[in-house]
Amino acid sequence: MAVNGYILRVENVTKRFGGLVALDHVTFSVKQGEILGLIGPNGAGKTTLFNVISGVYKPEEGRVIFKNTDITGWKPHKIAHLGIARTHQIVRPFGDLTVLENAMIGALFGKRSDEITEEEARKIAEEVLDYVGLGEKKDLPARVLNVQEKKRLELARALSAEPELLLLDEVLAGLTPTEVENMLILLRRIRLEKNITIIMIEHVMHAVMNLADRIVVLHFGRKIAEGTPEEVANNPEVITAYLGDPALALRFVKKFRSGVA
Amino acid sequence: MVDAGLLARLTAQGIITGLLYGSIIGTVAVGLTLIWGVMKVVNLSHGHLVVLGGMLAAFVFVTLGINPIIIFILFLGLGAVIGVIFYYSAVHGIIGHVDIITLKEEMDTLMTTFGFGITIFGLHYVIANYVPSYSTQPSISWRAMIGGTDVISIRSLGTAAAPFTVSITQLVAAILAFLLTLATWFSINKTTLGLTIRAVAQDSRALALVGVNPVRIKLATAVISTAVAVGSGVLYLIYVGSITPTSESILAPLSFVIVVLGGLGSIMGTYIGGVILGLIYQVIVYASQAFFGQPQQSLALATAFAILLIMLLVKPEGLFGRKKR
Amino acid sequence: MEVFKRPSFYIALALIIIFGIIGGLGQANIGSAQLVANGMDLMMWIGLGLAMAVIMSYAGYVSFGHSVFIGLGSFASAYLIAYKYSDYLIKVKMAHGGALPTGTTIKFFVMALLLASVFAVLTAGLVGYAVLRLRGAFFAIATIGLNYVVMYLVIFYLKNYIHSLEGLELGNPSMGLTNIDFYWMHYFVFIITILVAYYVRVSKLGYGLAAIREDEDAAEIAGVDTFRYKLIAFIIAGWLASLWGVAKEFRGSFVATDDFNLLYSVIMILENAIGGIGSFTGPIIGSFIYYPLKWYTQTIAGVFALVILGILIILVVTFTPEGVVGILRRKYPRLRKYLE
Repeated sequence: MAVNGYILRVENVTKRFGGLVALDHVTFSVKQGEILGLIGPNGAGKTTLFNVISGVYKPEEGRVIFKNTDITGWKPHKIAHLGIARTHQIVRPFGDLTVLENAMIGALFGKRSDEITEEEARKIAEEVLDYVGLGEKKDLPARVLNVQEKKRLELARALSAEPELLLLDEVLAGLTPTEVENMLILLRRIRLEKNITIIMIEHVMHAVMNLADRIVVLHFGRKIAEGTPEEVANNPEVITAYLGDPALALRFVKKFRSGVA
Repeated sequence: MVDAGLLARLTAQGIITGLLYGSIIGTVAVGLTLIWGVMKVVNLSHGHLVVLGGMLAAFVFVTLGINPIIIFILFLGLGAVIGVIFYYSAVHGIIGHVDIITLKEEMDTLMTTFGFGITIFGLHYVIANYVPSYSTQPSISWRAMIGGTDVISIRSLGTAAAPFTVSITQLVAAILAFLLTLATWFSINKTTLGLTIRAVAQDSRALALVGVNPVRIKLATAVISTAVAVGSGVLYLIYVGSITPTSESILAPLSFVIVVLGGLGSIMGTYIGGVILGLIYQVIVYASQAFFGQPQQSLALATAFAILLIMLLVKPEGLFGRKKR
Repeated sequence: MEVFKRPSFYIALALIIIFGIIGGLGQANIGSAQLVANGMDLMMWIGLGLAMAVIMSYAGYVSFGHSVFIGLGSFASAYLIAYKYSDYLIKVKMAHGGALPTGTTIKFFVMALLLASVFAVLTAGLVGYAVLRLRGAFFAIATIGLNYVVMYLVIFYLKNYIHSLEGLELGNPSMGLTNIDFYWMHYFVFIITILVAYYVRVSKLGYGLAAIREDEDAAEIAGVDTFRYKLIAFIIAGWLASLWGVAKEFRGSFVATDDFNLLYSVIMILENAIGGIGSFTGPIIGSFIYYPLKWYTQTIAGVFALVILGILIILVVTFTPEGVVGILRRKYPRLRKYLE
């Protein structure tokens, strides 16, 4: 049950690696049911933030609160049981297992891990695989899939866990424009039909600007902007820090210039 | 009630013996730290290579009567040749063309090097079967060569009745061991080849781009490591005076303990780790006589492996290694 | 339990039946004595391969020092029948006309299994807790260290407190037991091993272990309690191996340097490497390949035995990394559900 409609609150999270400050007092909240885009130049700390939220790293300062529970420093598998699932920047399928088994792992160890049976897990996995379009390949070993299929498999594994919060780390990277379009359609369906809150790290600007309800921008570990895509794109600090999409930047540079005397 | 005086004398003798013994086993371990630390190959045939050096040296000594020190020097060359065979049999097939070594390659080389080791082990018995003069339990005595007794009594220490003893043979072997370690350290840290070897360990792909052949370098690493292993085997033979194929069951595990203790990849660190372990081992062996009436090698060995476990859990990079991030 | 209704269980069932038949033949004195002896050996090698599979093949952690559990089991057994109750057993045997009554044999066999289990579970649990944090080669080496620590402590104990020769051996009192008696002991442990190893493989634990083997960090993030699962697998693997130590000791005697010999671990690993990692059938096929090869090299090759074994290991690992079952599963996907 979300508090004030917020399913996740990141408060003052700071993560250091020796002398390097990867995350610097990052604070933001995620509304239940929304798609939040997390953008920023390479090295901004986005994946590190995901690692903190999913429990891989323990922050030096700050808290992560999921639906009223302080999950800061929890072990990753416990966080997965609460209902947070994630995909990875570089796909990590369980290569020797079949596509179906991969998805089943998600179901067996996800939100219902305490009571789910193998039969139920199998059913969920099969449904999810059909949903993402991998149904026909379910008995193939995961390592023979191509990149797009592997990304869908990661997504399937995450969805099979029946999460309430889905962390997507560059799920569109390496896809052709058509594949990007297909994935976007899928993500929209997921948000609509399954009522899952999504945080997505993305570099494919037009996609995240179009899909996300709100955007958080990180730069050198600090949050430098938060708001709707329009607000963020107009933010001069964001433009300066992150010319990710030249066309977009140019559009707003022109707009910006025309507003200056 | 333990006799304090006896305990003190035994401990002191343990320390003296330990320093010498430590020099030998430290050098034995240097071969392993090279191939494991630098090339990331956990060489389970290391002990067998060391023993091979000792066994062949004994054979040569017994049949040809050559001075063991000369055998030692010659065998450094022989060890290099064996290293080539070792590399192409057990290593190249798995990691010859691999840039980054993952868990799978680690495990595979564990197995192939183990297989290679067993092959060497079995070879002793095959040779003994066909070459009658090849003994599987040779012992050598060097006394004749240096003329007379080879034991120095240090009368200023200890009592007149029970002076501390140092064997000249062992002293010479220990010093040669140190020199071998020093030479290895020098070649790895102060020569171009050594620099390239260390660089390949970091990133062989980048080096290939500037024209360095990674296979050649990996081969060189294996060759140096094997040469040191075989040479140290000769020194072990000189030190102990005898050797058998089953000596491997002590030397190999001890080498692993020493490498983990001293520091994976650090030549001097490993050597010092060997000296430390040698001290601990011999002190326990000697001092235990005061408590149990007889030296307790088993206790000393149990302690050595307990040290291994503790180091792996507390400081796996070793006393002198650098921590990997 | 629905788990046992899967097609792949047929293989497990088949093995239990086949070795039961061999035992029956031996009991009825049909067929040669060799059959019973070889049957026992083969059961042990299959059983040990399966024990290793639980930690190595399913979870991906190569326990190179696994022989420590065989040694512990053997020592537990020897402690009871060759030391503590040795005189008692001899007395009973004499009173019973030269052979132990079945009841007594069973009682002591079970006692030995229980003591071995205690030793193994404690060791695997306590040491595993510390050592399973290590990865790859460090884990392997730590288990080697464990093997030697325990072996030398046992030798120390034997030498100074039990006063056995050289601290190395404990010979069993003669109990008037025959080969077929030992066969049934092996068979008992065999059934336990097969059922446990199979169950682990097809249960949720097996899925979790497979995920750990493929990508431990991704598994943790996907919700697998990796540390707990690894620990459970290690305890089970150690426990099973220790039971075989008992069976083996009853048949022979306890010799420290033999029973704690790393060669056991290597063969257990080899069986999994030949047969294929990640499956229940892998080590079974691996044992069926290894055993006749070993017999051949020992009896025919004689002095060349170890040389051939060594070369074989190198060739297998270099050229067939997937193992036989891996190749089969890839080429004949329809066989997958039988070859779990």
